[in-house]
Amino acid sequence: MTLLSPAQADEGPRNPFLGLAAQALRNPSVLIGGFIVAAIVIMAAAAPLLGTVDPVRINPAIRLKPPSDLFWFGTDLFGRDIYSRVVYGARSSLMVGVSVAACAIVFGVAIGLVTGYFRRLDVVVMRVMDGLMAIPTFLLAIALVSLTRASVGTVVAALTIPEIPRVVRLVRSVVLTVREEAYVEAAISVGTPTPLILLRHILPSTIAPLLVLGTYVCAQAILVEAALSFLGTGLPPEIPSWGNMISEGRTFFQVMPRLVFLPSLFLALTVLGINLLGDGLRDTLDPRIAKRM
Amino acid sequence: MTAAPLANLPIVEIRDLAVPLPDGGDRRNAVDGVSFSVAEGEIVCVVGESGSGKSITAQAIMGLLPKIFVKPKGAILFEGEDLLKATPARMRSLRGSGIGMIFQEPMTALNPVHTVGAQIDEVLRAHLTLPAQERFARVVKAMEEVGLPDPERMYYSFPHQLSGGQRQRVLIAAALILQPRLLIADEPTTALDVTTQKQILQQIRDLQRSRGMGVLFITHDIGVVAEIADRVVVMKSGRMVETGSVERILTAPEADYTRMLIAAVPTLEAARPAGPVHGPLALSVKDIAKTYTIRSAFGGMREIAALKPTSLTLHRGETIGVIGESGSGKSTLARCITKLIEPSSGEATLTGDGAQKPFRRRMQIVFQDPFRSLNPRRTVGQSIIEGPMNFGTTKAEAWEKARELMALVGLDPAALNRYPHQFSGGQRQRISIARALAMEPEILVADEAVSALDVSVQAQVLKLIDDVQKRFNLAILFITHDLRVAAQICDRLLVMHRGELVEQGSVRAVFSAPSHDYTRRLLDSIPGRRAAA
Amino acid sequence: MLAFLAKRMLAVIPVMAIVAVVVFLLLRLSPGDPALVIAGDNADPEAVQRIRVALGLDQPLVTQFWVWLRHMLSGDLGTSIFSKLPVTDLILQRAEPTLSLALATMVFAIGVAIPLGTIAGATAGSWLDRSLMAVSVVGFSLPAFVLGYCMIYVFALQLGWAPVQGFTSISKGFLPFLHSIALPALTLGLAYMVLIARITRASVLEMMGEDFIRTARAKGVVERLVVTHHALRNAAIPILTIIGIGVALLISGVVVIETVFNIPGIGRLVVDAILKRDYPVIQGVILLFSAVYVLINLAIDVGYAFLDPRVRY
Repeated sequence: MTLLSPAQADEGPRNPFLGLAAQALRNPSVLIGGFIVAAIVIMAAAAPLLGTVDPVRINPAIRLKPPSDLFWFGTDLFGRDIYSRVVYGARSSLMVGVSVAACAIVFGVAIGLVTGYFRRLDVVVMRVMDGLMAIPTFLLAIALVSLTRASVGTVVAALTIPEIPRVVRLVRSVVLTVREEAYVEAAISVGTPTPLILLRHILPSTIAPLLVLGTYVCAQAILVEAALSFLGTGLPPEIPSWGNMISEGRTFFQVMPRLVFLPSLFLALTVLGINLLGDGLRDTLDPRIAKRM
Repeated sequence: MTAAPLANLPIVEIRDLAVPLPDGGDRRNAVDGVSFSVAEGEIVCVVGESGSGKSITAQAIMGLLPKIFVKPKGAILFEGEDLLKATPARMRSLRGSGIGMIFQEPMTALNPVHTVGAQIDEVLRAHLTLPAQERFARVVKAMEEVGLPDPERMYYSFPHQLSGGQRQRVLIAAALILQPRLLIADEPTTALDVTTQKQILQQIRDLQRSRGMGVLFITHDIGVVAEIADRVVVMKSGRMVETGSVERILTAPEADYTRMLIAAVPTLEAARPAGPVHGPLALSVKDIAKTYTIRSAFGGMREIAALKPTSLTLHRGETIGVIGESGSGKSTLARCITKLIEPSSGEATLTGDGAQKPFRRRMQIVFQDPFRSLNPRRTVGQSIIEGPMNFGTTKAEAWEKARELMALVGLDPAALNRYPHQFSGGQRQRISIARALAMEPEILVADEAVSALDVSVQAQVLKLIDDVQKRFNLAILFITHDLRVAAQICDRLLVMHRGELVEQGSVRAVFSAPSHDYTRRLLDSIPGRRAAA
Repeated sequence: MLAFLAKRMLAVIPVMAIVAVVVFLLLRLSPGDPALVIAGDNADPEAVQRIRVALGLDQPLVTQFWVWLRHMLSGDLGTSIFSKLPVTDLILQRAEPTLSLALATMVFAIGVAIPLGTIAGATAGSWLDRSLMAVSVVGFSLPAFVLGYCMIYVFALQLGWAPVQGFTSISKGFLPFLHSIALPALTLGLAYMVLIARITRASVLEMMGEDFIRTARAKGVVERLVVTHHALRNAAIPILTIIGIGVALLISGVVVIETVFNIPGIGRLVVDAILKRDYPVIQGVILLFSAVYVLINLAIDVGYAFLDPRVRY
C-alpha cells in the first residue's frame, strides 16, 4: 500500500500564524503605521538624548519666545521649552495608551472567555456590560476622573473601565463562534476537559482580533486622555502631555497657533500610526474581515 | 446518437473557450479548450468533480465571471452572436430574457428582504415596460407554472418562509418568466433533499419539453445525469474529457476518467449479506429523545421534538446506517448517543467487556466537514494525540501510536507535523478517522463522514472505513442522507423522517420491500435509479 | 411583530437600571470622600458636612439609592451645588444649541457617508475607494479639538468665512444659524461620517459577494439597481447599527467641540461642572445622555423589524 503525502507537500510544516505574520509585514498600512509608531516609541524612549532640556522647568524671563537655535519650537507661556515638552509628551501618551489597552484586554479576556463558555453567567454579565456600554465612553471617563484626584493611575483606570465591555463582547463573540466549530466538538468527543478546550482551542482564535482591537483601544485611549487633559480634567497639569499643552496653549491660540498645533501634530501622527497599524493587521490577520476588504 | 435530432439548430455554441486563471493559480487556465453546443429542445449535462471548471464555463456564458478572471478567449455563439464580444449593456439585456440561470443554493440566491413575488417581478421590470397589474398577473402565472401553491398569497411571502424546494421553484419562475431560449442550471438540486431533487428535476424536464428550450445543466452527480441528460460533456481540471449521448457515455465510456466517475458511484445493491451480525452487543439505545424548548417574549413556551423516542441496538462488527433528509433528526440522534448533547429522555448504554473504560475511550465520532473538524492552528499530530493524552497516555507513546495510525489510514507518518490546511479534503477525513481510532474505541459514529467529498474520494474513504471496521471489529453507526452510500457499507438501515424512526431492517429488505410510504418515496427519488439498476 | 417590539422595549429596562446603578455607585463608592473632593482641599469641615447632607451621603447606601431613584424617575435630577438651580432647568436652558449641533451633524454626516460608502463598496479597489479609505484613517486619528482649531485657523482666521466662535439661535434666522453651526458641525461630524462610511463600504462590499447579487445580475437587472436595491438594502442593518453606536461619538464630541467653539450648550455645562466638581450636574447630564443613547438605539432596533422581515418573527 502506498502512503499518501499531504496534498500541498511544498515547504514542510508551516504554522499558519507564521504565514500570516509574514503576510502582515508586506501590507503597506502595517509598514507605514509600524514605522510611525516605531519612530514615536524611539523618540519617547530616547527623550533625554534628543537635545532636550528639563520639560517642566519654568522660566518667566523667556515666555512665549519664537523658535530659535536654542528653543527649536519656541517656548510656552511659562517659558518652558516646547520641543522638550513635545518629546517628553510622547511618554505620557504612549504610557496611557499601552496601559489602557493592556488592562482592558487582560480583564476583558478573562471575563469574556468565562462568560462565553458558561451560558448561565452569560446573561448576567452581558446585561452589566450592556449597561456600561450605554454610558458614552467619554462621559464615563469624565465622571470617573472628576471624582478622584487627577493622577496617572486614575486616568488609566477611568479610560480602561469603559473599554472592558468592548473586549468582553469581542472575546465572547469569538468564543460563541468557535465553540460551534466541529473541531471543538471533536475535542470534546476525545475527552478534553473544558479549561483545556478554552485555552487550547478557543483562546488562540481570539489573539488576532484582540491584537487589532488592542491597537484601536490604544489609539482611543490616547485620544481620550488628550481630550480630558484639554478640558482640564486629565493628567495632572505638571506632567508634560500633549493634551495639557494644547489646553494651556488654547488661550493664546489666535496670536500663537503653534502652541496648539505642534503638540496636536504629534498627537495626530501617533494616533494615525497606531490606527494604520491596526487597519493593516485587521486586513491580514482577521480573515473574516479581510475577505470584505 | 439518437437524443439530439440533427434538424435542431444550436442555441449556444462554445468554441475553444479558455478562461485564464489569475497568476499564482495551480494551472494556467481555469477552463481550457472547451467546445460544445446546446441545441433547442435538448438538455446537455456538464459533469465533473470540484475544480473541473464546469461552473466557470456556465458563468462565462452568462458574462458573470468573478472579477479576478481576465477576459476569456475563444467564442461563445448565442444564436449566432459572439457573447465574448458583446457590450456589457447587450449582455445585461440578454440575461433574464434570452438566457435564464438558476443556481446551487436556493437558500442564499434569493434576496432575504424582498418578497419572492417582487423578485420575480424584477425580471419584468428590468426588461419590459408593463403596467403593474399585468406584471402581477404574469408573475402569478409563472409561479403557477412551476407548481407553487396559492401563488397569489405566496407572492407576498419572504424567502425565509419558504422551503428549499419552493425557493428553487421561485428561482426557476424568475429565470423562465420571459421564455428564454436557454436555461443554465448550475447544480440546482445539490443543496436539496433527494425527494425534493426529484420533483425539481421533473419540473425542469417538463418545462424544457413544453417550451422546447435548450438546457445546460451543470452537476457532479452521475445519477442526476442519468435522470435528465440528452447529451453529456465530461470535464476534469478545466478540460473536456469526452462528450456524447447519455446512453453512450453511461454504457460505453471511452475515457478512463469517465469510467472511474461512473464506477465510483455507489449502486443500490447491498454490498453485505442480509443475515444478522453475530458480534457481542456493543450499544443499546433505549427511547432516547430530544426536545428543544423555545421561549417567546411573553413567557410562552413551544416544544419542538427534534428526536422522538428512538431505540436501537448495535453489535460489534456491525454497521447500522441511519438514513434521513435534513431535519429528520439523524444528526440529533448521533449527538445524543455520543453525549455531545444531553438527551431529554432515554439513554444510550454501552455494553460489553470494556465496562471499566471511560465513555470517551469507547465511542468516537467522525464529523461531516473535513475542513472544520481539525483545529487549523494545531498540527495533525497534536490533534491525533490529544485524546489519548487526555487519558494519561505519555506523549511518546501517543506519538508512536499516531505514526502507526497514519500509516493505517494511508497517510505518510512523516506528515504528522503538518497543519490541516496542507491536506486535501479526503486526506483530512482520513486524519479524522485516525484521531478517532487513537482512542481505541469499540463504537464509531460517522456523521455524514463522506458527504462533503467528491465521489472518487468518497469511494476510497468508504473502503477505509470498511477496512478499519474489520481490523478492529468496530460497531459503526453510519449517519447519511445518501442511500447509495449506505448500501455500500451497512448491514442494517434505520430510516428516519421528521424526528421519528419510521422503518428498519436489513439493507436488502428495506430496498426490496420497503414497508413505510416515506421509504418508498425516498428510494424512488434516487437519481439515476433506472440507469444503475 | 408586537411581540418583537415588546421584547425590545422591555430589554431597555435592565440596561437603564444598570446605568442608574453605575452612575449612583460612581459617586458613593469612589475612592476617598466625594464630599471632600467636591468641597476642595481647603474647605472647612462644616462645609464638607453640608455637602454630605445635601448629597444624602449620611444615609445608608440602600436608602440613598431608593431616595435617589425616586427623584430621578420623577424627573428631578437634583440641584446644582454652585448655582443652586435645579439640574433639569440648567439642562433645558442649554438644550437648544446642543440639539441643533447634534442634528445638523447627523444630517450632514449620514447624508455624505452613505452615498460615499456605497459607491466605494460597489467599486472596491477603485481610486475613489482607496482615497476614501485613506481619508477615513486620517479622519479617525484627528482629535476633534485639534480638527476644530485647524478649522478655526483656516476658515475663520485666515479666510474669514465663518465666525471664530459662538452660537446663533435658529430663531434669529436660518442663515445666521447655519453660518454659526457649519464649522462645529463639520468638525464634530468628520469622525462620525468616516465611521458610517467605512461600515457602509464594508457591508455593501460584503453583500456584493452574496449569491442573491449574482441572481439579480442573472435576471438582467441594471448594476445601479443591483447595488442600491439589493446590496445597500441588505446592508441597512449594520449601517443603522453603526449610526446608533456612533451617537456615543457625537455625545463625546459635543462636550469637546462646544468648548472649542465656545457654544453655550449642555457640553459646556458639563465641562464647567467638572472643573467645579458640581457632581449633581455631571450626574444629571450623564443620565440624560445615556438615556438618549439607549433610546436612539432602541428606535434603531425597532427599525430592524421594518428593514428585515426575518427579524419580525
